[in-house]
Amino acid sequence: MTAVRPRWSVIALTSAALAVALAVAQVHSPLRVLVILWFVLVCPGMTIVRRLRITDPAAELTLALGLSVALATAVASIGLYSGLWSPGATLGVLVVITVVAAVLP
Amino acid sequence: MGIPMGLSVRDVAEREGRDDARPRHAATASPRVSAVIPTLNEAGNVGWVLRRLPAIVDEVIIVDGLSTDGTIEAAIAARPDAVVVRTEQRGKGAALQAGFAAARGGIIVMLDADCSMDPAEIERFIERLRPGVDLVKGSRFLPGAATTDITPFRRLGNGALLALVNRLYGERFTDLCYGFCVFRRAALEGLRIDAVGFEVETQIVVRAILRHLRIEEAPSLESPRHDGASKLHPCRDGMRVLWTIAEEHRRSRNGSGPAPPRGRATFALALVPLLALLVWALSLRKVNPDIIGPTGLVSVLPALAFVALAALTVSFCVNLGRSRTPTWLLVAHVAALIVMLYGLGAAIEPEPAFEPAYRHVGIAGYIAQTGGLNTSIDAYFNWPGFFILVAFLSRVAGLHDALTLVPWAPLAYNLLYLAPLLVILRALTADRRLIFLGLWLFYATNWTAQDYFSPQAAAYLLYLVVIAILLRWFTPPVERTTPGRRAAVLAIAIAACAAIVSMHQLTPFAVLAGMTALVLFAGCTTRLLPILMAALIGGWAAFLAIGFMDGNLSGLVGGVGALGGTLHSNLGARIGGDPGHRLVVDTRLALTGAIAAFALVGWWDLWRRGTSVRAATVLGLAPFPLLGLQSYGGEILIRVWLFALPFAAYFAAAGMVAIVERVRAVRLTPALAGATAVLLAGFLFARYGNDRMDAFSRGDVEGVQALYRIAPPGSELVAVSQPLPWQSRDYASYDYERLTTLLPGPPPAPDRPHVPLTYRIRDVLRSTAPGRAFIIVTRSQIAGDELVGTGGTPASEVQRRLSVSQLFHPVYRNPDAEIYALRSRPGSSA
Repeated sequence: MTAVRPRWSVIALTSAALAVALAVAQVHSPLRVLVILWFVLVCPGMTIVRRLRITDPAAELTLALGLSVALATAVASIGLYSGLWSPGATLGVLVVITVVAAVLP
Repeated sequence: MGIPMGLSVRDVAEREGRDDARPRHAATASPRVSAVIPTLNEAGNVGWVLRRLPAIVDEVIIVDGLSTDGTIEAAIAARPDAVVVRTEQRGKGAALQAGFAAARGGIIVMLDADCSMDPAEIERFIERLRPGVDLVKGSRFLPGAATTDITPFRRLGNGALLALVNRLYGERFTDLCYGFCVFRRAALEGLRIDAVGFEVETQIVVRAILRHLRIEEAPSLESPRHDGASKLHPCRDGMRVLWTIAEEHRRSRNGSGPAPPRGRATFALALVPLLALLVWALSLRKVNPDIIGPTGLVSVLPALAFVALAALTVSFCVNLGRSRTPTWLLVAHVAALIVMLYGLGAAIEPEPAFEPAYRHVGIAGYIAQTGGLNTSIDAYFNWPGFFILVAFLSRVAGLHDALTLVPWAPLAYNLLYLAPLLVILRALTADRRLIFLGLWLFYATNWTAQDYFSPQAAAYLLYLVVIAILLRWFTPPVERTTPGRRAAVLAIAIAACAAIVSMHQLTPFAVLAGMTALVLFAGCTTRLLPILMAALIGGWAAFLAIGFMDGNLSGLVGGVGALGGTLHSNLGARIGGDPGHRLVVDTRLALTGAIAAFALVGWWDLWRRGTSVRAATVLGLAPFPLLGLQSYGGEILIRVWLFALPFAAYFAAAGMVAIVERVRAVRLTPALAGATAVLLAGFLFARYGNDRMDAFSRGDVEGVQALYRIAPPGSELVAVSQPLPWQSRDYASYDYERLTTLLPGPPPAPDRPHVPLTYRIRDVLRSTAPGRAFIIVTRSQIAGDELVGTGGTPASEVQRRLSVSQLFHPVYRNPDAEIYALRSRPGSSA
């Protein structure tokens, strides 16, 4: 595993910041829906998968989608089953995963 | 003897009437193995090389760079059937490009003419080119190999450049700058080689790595050349190799891959999918969904939409037939097809389609509002992964409910399926025609409509991800990678498996069947993964779905082995209804039959040619045992076909190509365009043929909204039949029933004491609904009855009886929907 390439780190961190900002500001617009879907379904997984340095974009996206969906489902489900249902906190955990994976050397 | 430029020895020999210059193989038969040998003043060597070629080589291409020492004459003397291609462009790479273009064999050997490589090794190389391997490259540094030709300086340079390539791409090759290789033709064409000098060997290896070709190394002995001097300049050519490595790496980082062909033709071809999409979108602007006929959406599609689809199909087939078409352009065509086929609903239908999608929105809404599950309501809450994910997403996205997402679900899901499908097909073959035609057929024939807003659609995405991982990284021939990377992708597969188990009842069994089949029959190395998957399925049922399993175990396992009943509920009970619906069902059967027939031909052809078919075969067959487990509400056959379709489509693509190649009078592009156009027309009937009932009008939806306004929470809401766009809100606040469930079976026979229908409805409502009950009948329910029938009193007849009954009174009415409530006393208003 190696550090994530800077360009993707910038995209992932910007997406995370935008997702949080739109959610906190309670903006109601299609932009918020698109940003949230993009962030949750792609960014956490892609940020981790990029560290594997897989050269094929289709394989990289496949792994990123699988990991992102699995992570979001797992984090939200653990919250719900443990009686701590909180969509905001779930988003926060995904943001932390993304940021850590993006900035770790 | 001088030979005019561009003419082969065969041409010249025929002109001069020499019999001995005829090829050894019949003129019409395709050669199996072609050897491409570049020459420049190798008169003293080429004869020895050609005479040592093994018999398996049945075509020899000599690419001569204007030799002046009698090289061509020496070549003809040693091998009269050799094809000579003369090229003015200097450089080994340029010569090889010309030779590859002239070679006709399915397997191509590349070797030097200076006697440094022993042609007798070719047979060993070809033995290593077993099914699934695309390229065998010689190595002078493997055990059993040796070189007596290389200088210490060249050895040092080769080692440094090799270390760089291995470091960049995580490989463990032992040699780099050695030009003794054997390729499959399809794999070589995909590399689009354009290097002109000695760096061509490096470009081939690096592009093969980037294209994820299966590369094997074979030990080889390198000797000093017999005659003449080497044309290699270690410093100059070493720098060119270094530059090639850097340039290829830069392109791969930018995602641009090997340089695409330039020119107006490619640019024009790239415009076709864009223009087709534009025409398609413009043609749909004035479609009136209110006049959808019994054959579904096709009846309202304008002619221009079909023109756009036909143009895209022709353009795709033209590009598929060009070996230099860039990959992105083929992907763009498939993406445009997905938008055209699966965006139709979002573009035309005034309201989201499919009744279950509304129910799924309601369940997610319940979870979002309460932050909990109600496992006593129904099975959905026992496998809630998808609904929890949707509840979370719709909350953080600021949506009132997830209904906004429903129309876009088929389009979004199918676009998401594209990446894992591409990985799966690339793992099965290096032939780009089969990869992209397989993709095209998957999307052009997937009539199953399991991509709406549903747990099945999300679980299917993860199914594709898991299968893609297992095929690419764990099933031979596997991609070379580091142990750490392999462990990481396995962890991702396990995480995806866990998500699937939490989302869906059926898909985990399809994953389990697929991975077990791969381990047992295709050499997949993740032997413990099926056991882990079985444990996940069992663990979920035992601990997190116990509330459902406790009361429904007998119902779940009762169908095991009852194949006859399953086939009846999946086939017999579905083939019926009005003529329009029967046409839809017949088209679905015909599409399935066509793909299955092409797939059988493709399987036979690939097997006959020695291509590995094991992994694709077992994955295509693995879902079928699920038929013996459950009828799955009469849908198991549809789901089994869905899980098998990627592999059926791959074999069907191979079958189509094989048929077209056999029938020599037919050209590939028009034949494929015709065949796929017929399949696409069938798809539009099969997929959207039931839209008169599956899609809802504004009146249908407004009727349901009125029902929620009128009926106080706790009421019983009764649908006369199905489908109805309800349950997207207040999922647990009402008691939802269907009249066909409350009053099952046909009306009483005439010889039985006659109880009027409305009295029977009143009586059953009084017994099941102590509070208030409301009956809703809509256009969609009447259309559903007309199309498929319910076996009970038709919805239109129930509506007529209710409208004239003294027992019920209308509380809401629009042109498409009516709501009735039970009067407290006959004739009273409440």
